[in-house]
Amino acid sequence: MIMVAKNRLTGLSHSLEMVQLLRNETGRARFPQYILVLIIGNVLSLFLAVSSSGVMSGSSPSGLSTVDLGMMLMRSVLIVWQAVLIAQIVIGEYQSRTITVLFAYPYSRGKIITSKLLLISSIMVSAHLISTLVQHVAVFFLQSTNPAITFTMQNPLNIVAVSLSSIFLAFLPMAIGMKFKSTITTIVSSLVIAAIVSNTQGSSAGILSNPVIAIVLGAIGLAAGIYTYKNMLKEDL
Amino acid sequence: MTYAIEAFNISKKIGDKAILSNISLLIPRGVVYGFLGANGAGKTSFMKILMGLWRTDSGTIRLLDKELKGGDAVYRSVGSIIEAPIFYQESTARRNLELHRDYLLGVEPGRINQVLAMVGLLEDSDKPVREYSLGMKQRLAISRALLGRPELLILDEPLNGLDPHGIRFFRELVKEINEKEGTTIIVSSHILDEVAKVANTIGIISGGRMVAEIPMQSIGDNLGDLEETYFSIVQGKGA
Repeated sequence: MIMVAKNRLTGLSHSLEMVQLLRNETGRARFPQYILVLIIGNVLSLFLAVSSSGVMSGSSPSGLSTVDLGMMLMRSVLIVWQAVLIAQIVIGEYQSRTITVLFAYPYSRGKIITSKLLLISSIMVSAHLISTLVQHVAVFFLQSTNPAITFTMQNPLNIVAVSLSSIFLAFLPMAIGMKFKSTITTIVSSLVIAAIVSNTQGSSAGILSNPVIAIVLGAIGLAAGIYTYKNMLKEDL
Repeated sequence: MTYAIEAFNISKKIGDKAILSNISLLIPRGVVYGFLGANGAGKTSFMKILMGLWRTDSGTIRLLDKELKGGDAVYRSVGSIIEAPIFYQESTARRNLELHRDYLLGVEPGRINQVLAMVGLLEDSDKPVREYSLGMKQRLAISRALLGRPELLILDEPLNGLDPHGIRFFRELVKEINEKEGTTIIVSSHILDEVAKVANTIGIISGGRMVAEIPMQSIGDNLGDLEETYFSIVQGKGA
């Protein structure tokens, strides 16, 4: 009985610690900057998607619907942006060695890093959700203005699978950046990844638009992320 | 007697190189302990292990009667400076202390101003740390270490970058905190005179081994003797 109560208490204090750590991380996050990036990214993707849908020439050179093109561009933006967040929130602490101050606090390394990764993941899930809505709604209303602007609707399950996979995949730059403790490496590697997955030669909307390939890439990103996390827990600093 | 730090047979290798070999150390509560050794003798390594930044290959450590397991609650009662004063460079000194407070919890309101005043940085507290000199960063690091009214202070080379003014100021601050609040303080340095002036006991580390412990009472005011003792010990037993 006492043991159960004690376990519950430790369970409670564990989750309270997580709440406190998340609150600290959120307090340091730069939300106005994030909103600005989201707006610019969406407007730019939409603009490029619309203008390359053949509004001028009358036919789409890629054979893609405007929505699919916009989503592909937006996902590339989000992959790079996620790397910027990872650089700011995780890798930057290693590069400047402020992580040694964080790890000397009365919290386990696991909780400190988890709170950082949770913050990044929540921002990214929201960003993908918002961007998907924005692209679809915008193109839906724009299609009546010009026949070259085309709206198609993917299976929502596909969209979810591809979005989640690209979030996982975008943890691959964290693994690469941690190897060198370098924010620049993190961001540059994400540019390479974004370029590869949105290359339209493999599949018309980039290989990431294929759910099966997306899930495989997501699994690779997830594995790299878990490996890096485990190293962070035991690394001598 | 109760101890602030109890280390038993701490060993640490990096690759094939033994950084620390079988270090055992008992530091009673309420003392100022000077940790003296040449550069590379193992002072910082040992302090990193105390703060949980490095894992040990073997041995156990108890801080303030609690065995270390990682992320321990005991660190609420430990203030530290390890290796160098590290801050968020773009944030102000005050903001850096506020972030520190958010992790420690239970820091009373007004304490930030209090510790800033203690180290003479109140007026510069709204400047970003990037504009600070090394000496100012060192002072700020001391104020951060004191923020949570620690029972134990672990200070690794806190005198680096301080001018003669700052060194004297630091010495007086250490004495004051130790006497008024009963804080146990462990200070490392590679400069013998500096340690000798603040410590009750000096532990000498050489080549990753503890080679001697000298109570300052036995030395008295004759620091020349301490220097002789130091060299005879280090050359006799050291690496």
